[in-house]
Amino acid sequence: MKKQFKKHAALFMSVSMAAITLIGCGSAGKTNETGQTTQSAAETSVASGDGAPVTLRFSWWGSDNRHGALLDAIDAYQAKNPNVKIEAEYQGFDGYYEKIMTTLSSNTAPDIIQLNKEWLPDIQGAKHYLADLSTLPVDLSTLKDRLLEISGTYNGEANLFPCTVGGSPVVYVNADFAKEFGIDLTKNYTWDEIAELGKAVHEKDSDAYLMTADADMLNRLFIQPYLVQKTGKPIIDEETYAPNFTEADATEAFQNILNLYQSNALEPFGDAATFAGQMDQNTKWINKKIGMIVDYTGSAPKYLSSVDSPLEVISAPVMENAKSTGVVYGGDRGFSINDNSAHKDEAAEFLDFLMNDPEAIKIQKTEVGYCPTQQAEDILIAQGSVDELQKKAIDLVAKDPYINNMISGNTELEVVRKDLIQEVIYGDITPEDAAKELLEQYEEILGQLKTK
Amino acid sequence: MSPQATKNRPVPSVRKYPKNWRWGILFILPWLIGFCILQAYPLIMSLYYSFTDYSILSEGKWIGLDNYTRLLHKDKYFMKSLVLTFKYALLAVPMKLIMALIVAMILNMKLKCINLFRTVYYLPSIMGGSVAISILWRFMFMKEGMINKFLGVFRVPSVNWLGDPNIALVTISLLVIWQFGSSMVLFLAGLKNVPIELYEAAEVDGANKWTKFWSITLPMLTPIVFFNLIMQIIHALQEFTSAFIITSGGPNHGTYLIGVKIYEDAFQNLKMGYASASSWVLFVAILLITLLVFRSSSAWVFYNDGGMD
Repeated sequence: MKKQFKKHAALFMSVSMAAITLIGCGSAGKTNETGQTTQSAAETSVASGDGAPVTLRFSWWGSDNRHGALLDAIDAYQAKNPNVKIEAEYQGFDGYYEKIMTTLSSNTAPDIIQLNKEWLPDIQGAKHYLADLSTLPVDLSTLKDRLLEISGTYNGEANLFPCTVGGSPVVYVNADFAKEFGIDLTKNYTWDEIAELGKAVHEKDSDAYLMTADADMLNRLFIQPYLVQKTGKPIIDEETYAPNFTEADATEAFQNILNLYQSNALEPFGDAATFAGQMDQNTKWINKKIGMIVDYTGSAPKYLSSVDSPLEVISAPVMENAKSTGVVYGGDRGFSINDNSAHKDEAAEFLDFLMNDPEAIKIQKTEVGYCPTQQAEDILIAQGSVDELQKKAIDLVAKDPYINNMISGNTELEVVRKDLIQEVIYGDITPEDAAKELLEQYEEILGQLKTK
Repeated sequence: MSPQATKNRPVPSVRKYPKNWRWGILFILPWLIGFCILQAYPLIMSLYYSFTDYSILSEGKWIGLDNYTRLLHKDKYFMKSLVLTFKYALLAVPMKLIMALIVAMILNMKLKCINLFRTVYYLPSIMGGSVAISILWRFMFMKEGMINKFLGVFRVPSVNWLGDPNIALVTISLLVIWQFGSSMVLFLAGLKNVPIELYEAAEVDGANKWTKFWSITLPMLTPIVFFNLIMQIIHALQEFTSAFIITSGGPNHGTYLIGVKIYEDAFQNLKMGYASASSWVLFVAILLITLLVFRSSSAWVFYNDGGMD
């Protein structure tokens, strides 16, 4: 009798454990079902105009300032629309791309997603994951001229509402450092002049370097602009999928990086690598032992808050007889709506509020991005919330930019460049061989991309 | 088990299923379901994916052995990172076992508060491979970090722990070596099982401490060394967290372990099929090495009860 009881108890526990396992695995399917029912509910609510409760998921990356601004904007929207609940899913940039790609593929992606415009081909090229914003209740006409076309459109469809306008590269300069080493901030430097200046700085103080950069920055803010300055075109041709630069051009671009290291204009790569992705926290920059950082206009606030000294901003170095400034201008980041969302209309209404409503603009200031609409710029300048350094940086890049294309920002191509840059810096490979390998690998990758 | 070892025991009739086998299945059901869904299914699917060009975002199509030929012939980083991973295992595993053994022997002595010490030395293993510890490691080993400041006190010139591709691998190994707790506990249990008579007999014969360790302790511990070795080799070859968080594979691929490469291929370059192929090559490599170690064990592992041939 007792034994029988034990057996039954054990069986009961075992079965309930199995049941729990199964429930855990089955929950995805279940939410899908409820998702569908709410979808039909949502459709009727839009049609009839009543406020059935809706939950939207909104996901972005950023720093604490951006998190705070967006959370406040969400609160403001929820106060106005009590039937809408917005769940915020936010984090730093690390791992964001991977997370979004995985959720999109498993059909668990949020309704509103912050994306980089370079990711559009990866995402939208694979499948119609993102909604066509022009069919949804969000006003795209407020965006500054050509911004949507340059930064938010893929395959002729509006998929991304740019939330910022800006560009790269610009050079942030520590004004105290410049005074100490007698650096002239009125002139537009060439790459060679930067190398010389860096040499002089390091000779004066062996602890100090003119600049610093990680592999990502070297790739996007040194190599790429250099190639564009040389050829006057984006690095890859959008029609033919062929590189617009020659082996000699690439050799020169790699050699330029090497010169900057050999003249000690750049802090040794290994030292800077510890701060990859967060150069504002470089101890030498904070301690005024590094005077300049090349970066995006959007990075102004983070550099401002990292040092006590006043900052200046100047144009990026160019080569002599450059065919272009190598400066890009546009909106590199924005918001998209998940095409699989059950509440596309509600999501679009929220997006419209976020980007076009004066109240939302006042709440966010420039924490989410720099004024993608004229309205935002007018409101924020009148309010005095536009940071002068950033405004100046944006005026610099807006002066004479070139129009980049999507394929030139392809992640796989970038990885190849970043790998080769490091090999050149560590002397594993000569600039000539690196250039040769770069073109060989590009031929293969571009061939594959073209067939897709 | 050798024939001698089993001879004395009554041999149960294993051929016949017990009549209540259904109950047995029911009892292991929770594990069985978890295993099928979370391990067997992904394992089989990844083998299938390795023959396709599946990216996370789009369905893959069958491309045969393309991924494998590309891996072995075209990808200049695959062999490099595989070799690097072996180097890492060669560095980390012996150091970790030696460390664990030394500490276990110290903790086997009759000391005051011995349980406190045992707990303290086990702590790093609890915090283990966590992301927070990896980040702490990065700050400690920075060019101007704590370790270099500390070395500076003794006038040791500062070392570029994370910036030099050759040293970075050692720095990362240190993190794993520091987490010797679980191996240590096993060694400790093994040490407790060494019969005291053996030591007494050796002392009568005039053996010194070193001879006692070399001729009694170590041979008696070989089964545990063997177990630890296998487990640690498997872990080391799959290492990911430290290399990813502390140096993200860099600088100049100095810590580009195969785990990091698989992750980057799968989630950053969106080549899931290709990454699956890499992980299968890694799987086979680990399997072969494990078999090799198993094979070698007959030559050096000593079982007190004659357990193995």
